[in-house]
Amino acid sequence: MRLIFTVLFSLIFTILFAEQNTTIRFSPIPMMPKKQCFQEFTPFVDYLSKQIGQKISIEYRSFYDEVINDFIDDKIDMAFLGPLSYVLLKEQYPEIVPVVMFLNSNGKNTYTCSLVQFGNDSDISSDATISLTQPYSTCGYLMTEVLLNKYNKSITDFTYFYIGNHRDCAMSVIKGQTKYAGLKTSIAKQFTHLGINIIASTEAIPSFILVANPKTLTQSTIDKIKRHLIKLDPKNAFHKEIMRSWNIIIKNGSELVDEKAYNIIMQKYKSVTIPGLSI
Amino acid sequence: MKKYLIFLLFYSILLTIAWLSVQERFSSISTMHLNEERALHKSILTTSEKHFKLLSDTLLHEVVMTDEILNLLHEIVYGDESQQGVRRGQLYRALYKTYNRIKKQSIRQFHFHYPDGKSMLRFHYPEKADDLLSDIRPSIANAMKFKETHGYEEGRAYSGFRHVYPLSQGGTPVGSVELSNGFQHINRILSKNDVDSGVYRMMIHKKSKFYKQLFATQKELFAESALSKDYVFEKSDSLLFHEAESNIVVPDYIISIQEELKNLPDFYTDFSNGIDFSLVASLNDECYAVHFYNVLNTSQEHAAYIIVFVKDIFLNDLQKKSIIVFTIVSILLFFILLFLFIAAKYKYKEKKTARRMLMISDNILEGIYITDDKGTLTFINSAALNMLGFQENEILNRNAHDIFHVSSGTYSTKVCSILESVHSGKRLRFDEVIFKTKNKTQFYVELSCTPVNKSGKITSIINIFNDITDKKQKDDELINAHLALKEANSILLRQVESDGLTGIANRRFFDKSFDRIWKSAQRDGSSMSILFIDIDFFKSYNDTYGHPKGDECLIKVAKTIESSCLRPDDITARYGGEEFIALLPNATLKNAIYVAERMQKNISDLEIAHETSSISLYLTVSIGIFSGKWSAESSIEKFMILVDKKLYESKERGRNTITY
Repeated sequence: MRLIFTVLFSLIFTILFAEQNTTIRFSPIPMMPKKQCFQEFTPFVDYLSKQIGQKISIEYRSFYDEVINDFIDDKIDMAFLGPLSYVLLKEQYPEIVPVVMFLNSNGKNTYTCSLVQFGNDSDISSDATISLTQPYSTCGYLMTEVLLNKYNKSITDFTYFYIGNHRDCAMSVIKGQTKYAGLKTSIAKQFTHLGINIIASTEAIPSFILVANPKTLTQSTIDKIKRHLIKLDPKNAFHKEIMRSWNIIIKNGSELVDEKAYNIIMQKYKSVTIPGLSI
Repeated sequence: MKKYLIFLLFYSILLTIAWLSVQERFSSISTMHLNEERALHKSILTTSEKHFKLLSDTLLHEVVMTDEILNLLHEIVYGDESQQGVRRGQLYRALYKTYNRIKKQSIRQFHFHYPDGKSMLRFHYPEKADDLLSDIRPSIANAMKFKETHGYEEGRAYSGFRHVYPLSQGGTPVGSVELSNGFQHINRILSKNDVDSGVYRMMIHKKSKFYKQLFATQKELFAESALSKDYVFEKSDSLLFHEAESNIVVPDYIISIQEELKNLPDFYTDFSNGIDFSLVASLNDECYAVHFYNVLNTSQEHAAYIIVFVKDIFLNDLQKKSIIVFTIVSILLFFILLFLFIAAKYKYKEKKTARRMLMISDNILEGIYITDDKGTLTFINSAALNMLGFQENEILNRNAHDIFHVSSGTYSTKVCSILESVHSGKRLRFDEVIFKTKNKTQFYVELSCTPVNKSGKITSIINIFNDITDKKQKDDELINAHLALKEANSILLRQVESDGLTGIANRRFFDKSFDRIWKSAQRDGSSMSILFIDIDFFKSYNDTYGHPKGDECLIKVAKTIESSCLRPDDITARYGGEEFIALLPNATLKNAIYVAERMQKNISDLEIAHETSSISLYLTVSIGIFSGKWSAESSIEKFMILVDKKLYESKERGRNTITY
């Protein structure tokens, strides 16, 4: 009896101890350059790490699909995903555990994508160029196509380029390299002083989401992460200070994930064929 | 043990002094060298700054001061407000390619400002605009007053060496433009031209003001300086944080040198003063000159330091030489100190011995004085001074011979007892030397002179003397007494062995002498002769002339017999009554006859009247002679019997005859 108890105790202790000493591998989708990514997510992981008592490292991947594939391969324990990335990953990896969805500065769990141009041209002309972020980006091909459809246009009517990130899409329009760009509305607004004109914006789409890999993280850990994020209230001065230097998408707090909200993304995805992207 | 501790203490003090001296010299030379080097590197930095100003001036005139840009700026500032964004976008579109080109020329910031001091367009950070700058940027405030500003200044996105120009179109201010470069861009160009690969430059910014102004995101481009937590340095040479791909790697040796600098005593004093200064740091046996250049901002406040690290061969050599000099000095000091220590020890011993000797010499009765090889007094003890009657100061360093030696036939200056000892190199002892006192009184001394030989050369003479005046007086008295006694003995002996009347030897002396001569003849086998003499008819002479005349006669005859024997070894004696005897050693019969005849003649020549003599008018003598050699059968008694027989025969033959 004593032997069984000892073995059991050792096993439990080893598991707990092993997990506490295992670094959680966190990967945000590459919406921004690597350095900026580290800058804006390091204080976030530092906070979480301190709260849950476990190290968290940032695993930067240059492309969205790398994040998805590595998550499936259990090389990533936790990921920060856009709506499209999330639904694509969930399609391939149903065990994925949504942890929290992030709120915008208005306290809502949504955001919008916009189609922008330079100045105030009245009509959307075809045979023009358009810059997009990446295939897996929600505001990329998917939502730009949705927006163009409103004008009875399709991306295929244009010459489009995957520029990489939202900022570069905006800059390409300002520079006159492309006539249009599809990007997050919040980022587009950062460049309105340079003549960026938002032609159209999407309806509210569910915001960015933090997901966990149940194969590599215990439910207890996931719960702890969730608890420590949910409790942060941007209206609380202390909490606001904690989140002050976090990425703009995650610095306004979070809430429990409404998984149904992402159905619309799946519907949109299923209605749009993104070249080179298939699940 | 105590002596060795004192030695170690002294050596430690001397070593410390030597080390401080060497350090002082190293510091003096290195300071001079560092000042020159600092001036050189400053001129390089200044030249570089001027180069960038020239580049900025050129860009201003060639790119910005064009009608197109100025018109656009005018439109932005004074045109339709709803079109302001588009116009700014057009400005960006017009100049972003130029910006991309000038970035390659190390112009980092290209920034237009509104005339009211707000940001219009940052080419290096286009999403950030419309923030008020003039409140934190004196250069922008200057531009609002239509003044150019060139110099280092902190900023929101970055800090750097700014060239801010006010802009106008047709006399209307349209804001200002700034072309700036950061330190890393200057350094990149300078590094290409560095002949010496051992040069490393970095800039550290004073954190207090600098950090407050930075956009929060930009703070990530800086890290705390290893020298002080009040300063930060650029850890990336990228303009913006989100563009930074890699950090500048500060070499490990630079980090180590900074740690070394913090340990230097002068570092914090100089560092906190906000001035140009240089220090020397050592790392892995290499010397590094570290020059700090105070960077003032446009408000003329200390804002940063440019630090130049130079691997300095000159200082390295200087340090090595200093160590070598110190090592040599240490060794020399050790030996010098050791020598002095031993010498002091020896001197102390010598002094102690001298004190002991002085004490001994002052407490002994003998006079002691020491002279050099020329006779000059170098030491004299109390006893000698007392005997001579001088004070020490009256006599020292003067010639002993001149002062108290008395010249005589024996001792002159040339042959002074002291100098004699010098010349002979031997210890000499003089039983009697005459010295004189201060008041010229002479006295006898017994003197011994001992030369002291050092390395084969006589350097001094130790002289010890005793006043022997009393002793000599006693000796003289003793000698006189001895002579008197000897004389008395002689007289007594003469009285015992001589005849009381005639004064010549008596029979006792004759017997003793005959025995001695007999033994001598026995040894060498020589011959001898005996003459037995008797005064003829002496009884009747006494009867005729009385005994006094008889005695007078005997005296005359005895003297004549004695004077007739001419050889010193001949012995004459009164044998008894009127009989005399003469013993002639080594004399043949012929010699004896000749002596006997001379005796008879000499007595006859006395012409002593003898009226009652039957054979002559005058006194005569009969003589018997026996002459022979020693033989085993012979003896003194036999000799005497035979000579007596011969005398008898002479008397028988009528007296006044010689029988042999």
